[in-house]
Amino acid sequence: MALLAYAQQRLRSFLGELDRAAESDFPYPDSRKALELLRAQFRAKLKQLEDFTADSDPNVVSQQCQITLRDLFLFLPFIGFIVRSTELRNAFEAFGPFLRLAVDVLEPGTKLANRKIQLVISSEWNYSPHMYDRIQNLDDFLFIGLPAPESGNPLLLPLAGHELGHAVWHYDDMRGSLQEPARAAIVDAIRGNWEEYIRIFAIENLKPDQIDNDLAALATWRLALNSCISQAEETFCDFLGLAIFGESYFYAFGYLLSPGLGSRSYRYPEIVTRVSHLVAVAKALGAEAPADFVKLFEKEVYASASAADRFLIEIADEALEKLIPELCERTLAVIKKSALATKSIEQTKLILDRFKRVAPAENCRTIADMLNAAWMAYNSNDLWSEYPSMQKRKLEVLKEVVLKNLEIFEIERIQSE
Amino acid sequence: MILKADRLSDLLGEGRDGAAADPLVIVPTPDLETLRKQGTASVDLRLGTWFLQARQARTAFLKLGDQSETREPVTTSYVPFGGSFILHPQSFVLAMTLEWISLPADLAAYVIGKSSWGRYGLIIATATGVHPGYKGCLTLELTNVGEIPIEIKPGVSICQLFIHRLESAAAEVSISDFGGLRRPTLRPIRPDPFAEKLAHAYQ
Repeated sequence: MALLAYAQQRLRSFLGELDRAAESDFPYPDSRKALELLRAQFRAKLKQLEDFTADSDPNVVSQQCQITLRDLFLFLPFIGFIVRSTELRNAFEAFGPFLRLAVDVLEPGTKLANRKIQLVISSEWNYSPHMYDRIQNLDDFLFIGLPAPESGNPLLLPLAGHELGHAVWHYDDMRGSLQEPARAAIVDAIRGNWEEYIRIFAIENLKPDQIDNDLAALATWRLALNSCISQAEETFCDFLGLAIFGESYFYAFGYLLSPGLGSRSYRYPEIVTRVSHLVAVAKALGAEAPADFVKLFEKEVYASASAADRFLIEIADEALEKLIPELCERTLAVIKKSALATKSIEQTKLILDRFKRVAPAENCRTIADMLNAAWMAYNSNDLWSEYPSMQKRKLEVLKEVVLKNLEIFEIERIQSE
Repeated sequence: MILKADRLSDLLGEGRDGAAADPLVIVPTPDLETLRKQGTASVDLRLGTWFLQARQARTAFLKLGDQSETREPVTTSYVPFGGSFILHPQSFVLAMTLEWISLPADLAAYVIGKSSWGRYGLIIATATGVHPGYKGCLTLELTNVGEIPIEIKPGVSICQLFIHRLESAAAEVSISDFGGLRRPTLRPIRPDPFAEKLAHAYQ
């Protein structure tokens, strides 16, 4: 049976790749653990295929080969991701502090040794921070990737706070609990734009009060609901990143994403709207928006030829506006429930004083204070004017100081446990 | 004048509390009470997590002043806490101190090995002087001149820093390209006009 032989050989090759990956120098145990779990999983799959005999039902064999092939498609990118987590470009020193932060948010009060959460921070060959979670058989793993050229830049760590937000979104089943409010907001928005809705979708005799119970009508606005919920998730993640990291979230966001890409995805709020939301809730979330922050961004266009799609995205945008206060409240609830230490401007200033002396600070309470100080230092034009050789290499040296500070932060915690 | 441990402890305390304008900083800060009680004239420093080793199979030789070679003749490795690095006999590796140092303009220092390691053949540093105003982790040039491989682990106390006060503070602090770093690095050896002139004297 060539089918079975092909599948077995593909699996052996895949396992060979996993064996080679296992020889990497892992900077922390979680990435090795993820790889070991995948190895065990794929060895079991190979065993299943090897247990088939000439008498096995061909349909069962075929199905099993199909499942195996699908898994290879699904998991190969993760192997690459895990292997890239060992590359020296990454900010290894950020692992410990960020793991503690993730535990404080997702498992508040849990000691590190007793945590369920496993963290893999890696680099992506994709110019966008990314988060994979709820991976089959790796349920407790958070895979956070930063774009490869910036994965060693600790000043961008606040964006990992956004990615952590996706994990919170799933852990707390916010998609489920936001379904009703989002649906109600969509329905309201459609009723408010009734004439246009009817003109585009042309459902005969439909009345505004039937929009959420007529089967034909329901099918018309599914895209709007999906878009609204996706946008709400991204907005919540932004809010959480901002609430955890404060001003440094704005700067990291501006550094990586301004002025935007010009075209818009239906899954994200339009970029100017997105940053306007951040600015609007900043005070409530304990941060101050930099002056003229919104001006860094250019309006994005949703480039769909379909008038219906454009209408539905406008409806989703309108519905999202109604959800903003709730998303802000949910963010504050997550922070309140967490075991995060409170960030403070006084601490930030003390750390900044140290950075001005080209030295890391000890006894930092939060990595947010550290990163806020780092951005204040970065934004200061006269930083290190008394050390011209340092000033010439400002960003290189600042990254080094901050990475060392993250390591010191972690050492202090390990020593105090 | 070499500073005694109790004076070092005072200076580090002032640096930590933000009391000094141009402080002496060593972070992670050693336990100041222990340092004071030691009564010695140095502060111990620990081994960091980054190492740099020669890429022997790809490097023919090092040439003074050759700026044309763009590929570094070395490879970097990271050893996490809990991991270890095996230094084989006759092998050479650059490492860093775990501590980040910031010297004020009126202090200089020397990095010296510890006899506890030296007795097993571990040589810590050859370029031991640290200039006033230096900022960054200190590079250690580790060599095993013994006959038995030595296991070293990040965090172990590996060398000691003797700190001297200058007669007067340096008017201007000049930090080398090796300053401000947490990882060991190489810079090309700059052409030396004096040596160049000698080399071309009869051509």
